[in-house]
Amino acid sequence: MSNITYASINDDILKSLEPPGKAWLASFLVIITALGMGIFAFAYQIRHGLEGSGINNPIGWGVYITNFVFWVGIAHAGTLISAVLYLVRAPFRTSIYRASEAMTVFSVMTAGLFPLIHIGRVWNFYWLIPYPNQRLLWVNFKSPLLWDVFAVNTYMSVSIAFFLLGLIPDFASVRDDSKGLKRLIYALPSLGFRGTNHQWLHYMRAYLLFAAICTPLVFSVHSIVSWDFAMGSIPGWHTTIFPPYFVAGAIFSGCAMVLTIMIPMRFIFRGFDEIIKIKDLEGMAKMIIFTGIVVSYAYASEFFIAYYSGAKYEKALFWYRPFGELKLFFWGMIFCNVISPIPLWSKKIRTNIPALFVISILVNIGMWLERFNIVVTSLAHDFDPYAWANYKFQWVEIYITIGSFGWFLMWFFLFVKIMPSLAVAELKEALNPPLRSAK
Amino acid sequence: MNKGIKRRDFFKLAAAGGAAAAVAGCEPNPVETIIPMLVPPDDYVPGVTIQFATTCNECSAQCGMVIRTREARAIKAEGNLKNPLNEGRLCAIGQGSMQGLYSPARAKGPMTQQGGSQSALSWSEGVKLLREKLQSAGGSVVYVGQKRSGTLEKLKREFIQSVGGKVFAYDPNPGQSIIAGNRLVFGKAEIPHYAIEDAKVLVSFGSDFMETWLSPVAFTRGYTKMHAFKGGEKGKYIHVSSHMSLTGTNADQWIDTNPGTEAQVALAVAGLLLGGASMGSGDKDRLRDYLAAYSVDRVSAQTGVPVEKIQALAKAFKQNGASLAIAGGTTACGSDATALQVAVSLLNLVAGNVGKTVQFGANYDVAGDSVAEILKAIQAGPKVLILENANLAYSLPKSSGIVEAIKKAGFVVSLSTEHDETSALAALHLPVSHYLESWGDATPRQGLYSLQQPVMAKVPGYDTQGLGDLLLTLQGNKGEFRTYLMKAWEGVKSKTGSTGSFEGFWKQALQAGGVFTAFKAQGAGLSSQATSVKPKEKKITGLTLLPAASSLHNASGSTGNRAWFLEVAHPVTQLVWDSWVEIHPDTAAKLGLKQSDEVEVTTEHGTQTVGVWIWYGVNRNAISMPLGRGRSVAFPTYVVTKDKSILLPHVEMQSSIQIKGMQVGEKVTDLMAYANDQSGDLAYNETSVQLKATGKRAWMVSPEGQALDDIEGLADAVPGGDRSQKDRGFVRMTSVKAIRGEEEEGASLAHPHKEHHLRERQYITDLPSNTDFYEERVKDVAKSVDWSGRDKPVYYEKYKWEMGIDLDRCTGCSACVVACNAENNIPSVGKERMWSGREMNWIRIERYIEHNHETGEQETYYTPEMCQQCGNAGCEPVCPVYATYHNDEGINAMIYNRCVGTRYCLNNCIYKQRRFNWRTFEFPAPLHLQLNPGVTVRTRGVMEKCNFCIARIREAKDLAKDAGNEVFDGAFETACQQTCPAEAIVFGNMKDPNSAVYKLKTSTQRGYKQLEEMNFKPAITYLKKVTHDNRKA
Repeated sequence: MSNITYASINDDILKSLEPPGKAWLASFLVIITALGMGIFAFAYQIRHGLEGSGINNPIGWGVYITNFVFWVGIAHAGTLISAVLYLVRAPFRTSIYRASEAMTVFSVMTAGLFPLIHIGRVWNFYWLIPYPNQRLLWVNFKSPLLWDVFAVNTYMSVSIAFFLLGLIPDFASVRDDSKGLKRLIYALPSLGFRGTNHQWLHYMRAYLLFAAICTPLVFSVHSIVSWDFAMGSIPGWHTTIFPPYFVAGAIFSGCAMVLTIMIPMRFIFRGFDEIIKIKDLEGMAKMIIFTGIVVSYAYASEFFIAYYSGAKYEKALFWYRPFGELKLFFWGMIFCNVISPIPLWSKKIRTNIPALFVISILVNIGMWLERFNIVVTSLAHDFDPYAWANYKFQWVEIYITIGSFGWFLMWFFLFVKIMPSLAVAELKEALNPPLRSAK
Repeated sequence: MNKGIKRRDFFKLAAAGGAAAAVAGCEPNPVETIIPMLVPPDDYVPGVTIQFATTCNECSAQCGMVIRTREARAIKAEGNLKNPLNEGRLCAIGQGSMQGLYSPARAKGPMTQQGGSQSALSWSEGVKLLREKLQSAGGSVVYVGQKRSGTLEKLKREFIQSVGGKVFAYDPNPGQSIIAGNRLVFGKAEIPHYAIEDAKVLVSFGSDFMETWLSPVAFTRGYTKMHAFKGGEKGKYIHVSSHMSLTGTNADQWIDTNPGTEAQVALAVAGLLLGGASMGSGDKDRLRDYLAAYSVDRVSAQTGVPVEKIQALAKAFKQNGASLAIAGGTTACGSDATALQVAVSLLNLVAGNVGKTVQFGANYDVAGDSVAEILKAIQAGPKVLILENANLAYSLPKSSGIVEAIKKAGFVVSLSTEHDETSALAALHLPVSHYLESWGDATPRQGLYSLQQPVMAKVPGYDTQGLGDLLLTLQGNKGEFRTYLMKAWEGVKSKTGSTGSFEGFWKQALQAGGVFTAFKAQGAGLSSQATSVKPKEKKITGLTLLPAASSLHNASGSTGNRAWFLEVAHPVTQLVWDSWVEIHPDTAAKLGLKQSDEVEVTTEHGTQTVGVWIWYGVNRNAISMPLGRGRSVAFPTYVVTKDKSILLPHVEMQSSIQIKGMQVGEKVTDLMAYANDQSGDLAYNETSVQLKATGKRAWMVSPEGQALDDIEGLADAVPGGDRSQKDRGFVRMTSVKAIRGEEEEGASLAHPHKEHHLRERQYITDLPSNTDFYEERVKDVAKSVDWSGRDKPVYYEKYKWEMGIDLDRCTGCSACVVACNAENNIPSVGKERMWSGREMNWIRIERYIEHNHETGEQETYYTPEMCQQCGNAGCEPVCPVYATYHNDEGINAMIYNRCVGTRYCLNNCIYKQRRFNWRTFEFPAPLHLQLNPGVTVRTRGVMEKCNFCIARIREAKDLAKDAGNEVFDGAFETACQQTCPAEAIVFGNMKDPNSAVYKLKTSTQRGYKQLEEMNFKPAITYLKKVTHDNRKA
């Protein structure tokens, strides 16, 4: 602790901006290949229609919408950490908020693709946006899908703005460290930030304001996403528990994703491990424990209500989930989301990096399965027994899912090379101011 | 609907007559242009449907048909209202005639075949060659043609007999045995009129009279009149058979007999009724002697039917002439088919039905000639063998040696319209025109003269000649067949006693589709030969193979290469694109077989590998397999990628549909041992089989989505698995007594108001005033429209289209599904896509099998399901772009062009009646010519569904507008309603208090809405099925 100084922070963090090494390039190649697979599959789908995905007649939404909800969920942790934890002054936030915010931006960018990928005629996607046109066509504001369009777009713009705002002082410090063209490039987003008291005063006010704007978004966006389902009529969707359940789930998966990303970063970039402290990771683990309980409670209450209501459609569906043809997805979800976070109650495991990493991956998988369960099993087993169906995965949707990870990681890899991936200025704030004599 | 020709129809048909002449006079090979009929007749209006009355030739029943044409192309087949046989209705196979007319398997033109090589030749060359061969044959000529009646048949016989040859009409369905049976019992060699409509109790000994037996549409109509609930009464139908096909599942009671023993049950019942029969004592004594051998106890032991059941059957059958017994069908006909008919005729006689429900004098001309005779004639090795639309090589058992016999003939000529297994054996193929492109007529029974006229010019690219014209040419250029036909109809004119000029008579006949008069019903007495035939003793050893036809696949196999009939789920099994073997649960348990197991079905003639379908409706000593599958002709493949890796892409950049050889299912006749009845009918149920599990699972595809766990996991608890509707009230039942108020409704049957009785309240979420959701919205809209100064939209002002479906009438025959396919340009998707849930049918017959808690027996129910056009729909509010919206006439309209394909509407539809275009489906040529120009052909990425035939609504409204009035009730019918042989569907305008649908909905006690508790306010009202004493087959 004591050997961290303003200078060492600068050096350690900005070292990640050095030209990429072989490992980075090799990984990037893999990522681009994954992305290429996705692009190829998407092109195929545009050319031939949606039959390359496992979606079928009663099950109108499948892997694509699952991915959409999954990525939107991931996004939530970033905003939660950067905005909400900022407002409540949680100390473990500082070291991880930059990367999680980047994660937010990139996962919203990924999530935003899926509504486009899943629609039948993607070339007409702009019809979902209310724009004045000569044909006097307008959109249907009653449709939760339209609310989605607004919610996701608002979320994306605000989180990008908030992200860039937070970067201003750090861009300035990169600018100060560099020369030539690079200096010019970093000068632009620094918006002439010089670190004067006056500027800091205004900057901090603006940051607080954005944090306040972002905070309700953390809760609203995923609530609105959940309304896509909750406003539907079918058993398993039509339930009032969804907004809080989805928000908790989103934070649950987001925190897990933060761990999944931070732990390798800490390992790859030397020096980060001193900045991202075990205590910070432990904070995340505690969030996982808390939201995990909320999610588990939601699962239980869904079953209880299905039993208690006596509604036969609801009962049949909640019988089908654990015992039907898609039961593996259900039990996978229960294992990953309910069982696997239990060891985190022990401090020993909470502070054990490999264990944390494994659990974070499991939670991510579990949350994907949860969305799959909600989206697919409900559609597979609703009112008309004649129309029931099963879901069979097809290559196009698998490729596109792989491609979405490629897309997300591509941005993240570029991010760590272009932008300071930890918050330089705020980390410095946490230190004692250096004595003039020290440097 | 008001019967009889209407003024508008008269003009349409009058125009049609003229257009027909103009069309028929066209060049034989018109060049296909973007707009056909470039120089149209003067009275032709583009975009208006012109209808032509003609006669269906799909099976021997020869119903009256009206073909709708647009822009001089036939687009849809419908029943001819004026024809008393089918009264405006049509079966599924009749609807499928469009895929016969535009079949990709049609022969393009004359050709010769030698070895594997084919070479085209011109018609004049072909005719010359055939004429030479006929001249040099010296009378050794055999002609086997499709079963027809009327002038064409006469001309054919005249011609072939003039060259000294033999002529046969071919129909693989057993029909001669009926004639033989009646000849023996009554001395009348004819198929009488079975007046099902006049019976109170109908007993069918195996005959599938709703599917393929003699005249299925006429019988379904008769059955509906007798069996549908009306005025507190309904008739009773008992099915005695070893196999329950669609017809059997509709029965009130199924009496399960050992295979081939139906005749003995009939004789036992006759024996029981003999005492009370009113007949001469001499006759009675003779019968007593004859029937003595069929005591109830003995018959019970032979047939496996309990004594009490036979006695109860006799009690039910005693109706003083108001009962009727019929027999036939492939599964009941063996080598003693005549004895079965004798038995049933005796039963009718004893019950006093002859002359009442069995009316002689009708002389139905619907039976093919003796199959044994045909086989003998061909085996004799004629020098010239002419085969015209008679697919012997497919439909006769391989063991009959038919293929070898045909090969042995000197010179084989095929006149078939389509390429088939038989035409492949011909040296010369001169394809005759499809019957919708040529002239003809039919007399399916005494007094019915049905005309057949070309409804359009020949399908472009197909160089064919009408059969009549060809026969006249072969006789030495005797002119056009049309002139010949008109001359023959001068005779019809005098026979029917019409007055006035022939011109007028002819025109009227063309417009009406023929001349229809009644026949004189006669009774009959016992003949001296009545007791000369006895049914064979049956020893049950092992399993008997029962090849079964259905409403979608017949014994002749003509539908085996038509995508509609492979894609529309078989009503009983709900399987598509396949053959299967139906096994009784007990038999399956004994053999260790489970649902969907793959088995090898072996007889002494071959082995076939099919999937197991557990079905309670087959005798324990028998198995059943479908007829009419396993055709080996080239037709659209509709096949893709089963078993390929899902991780690696299979890129199909080209069209996935090719016209190539493809076999769907197995040809069950290959397994059959050839045998025939004494009348010459093919014996179907004489083969014993062995089953052996292969240990693999069969790939059986069904749109039925019952959870696999339910079907397989529950197999032990519920035979055949749980295929019930899980108390969800899609099909609801009541009983005759319950309607009369004599008992509580649905004491034992699935009825949603029984379970969750106390908590029902939680599911009713009605608006307080019980008004429609849209009525409320209209007020809101009106307010804002007032404010903006625009025109006010008004909902349900003049029209509110609604439908009523009477489940007591619906037989599940699936004619509506095929009709909808034809009307609405619905693509076929193939087995693999059906498997992936990519089906496109807008209407489907959902089949549920319920367990009757009272009787412990299984019961089968059908319900047609399509978009319910909800007044408070789930699909409309969730569409982000208003691609689906509520139109002012109550229809959930779809704007395909606006749809972006989010599929949210599909998810939110509680009836799951929306279909998504997973790709751009193809209609391989010439099937694309059948597409209805009034209905948009959808491309990939858009949602579609039933829209109550909105194109027809538009057409009717346009015509009404021209006439300056409103659309009156019955001005048009939806495609499903139009074809329904049972008249189960009523459709119309709820705003018109005189409309049939209004009257039905306001007067019925049986109406209910499906999933009513969801408050979607569907526009379709279902009418409960009415059972006798809460039980059903």
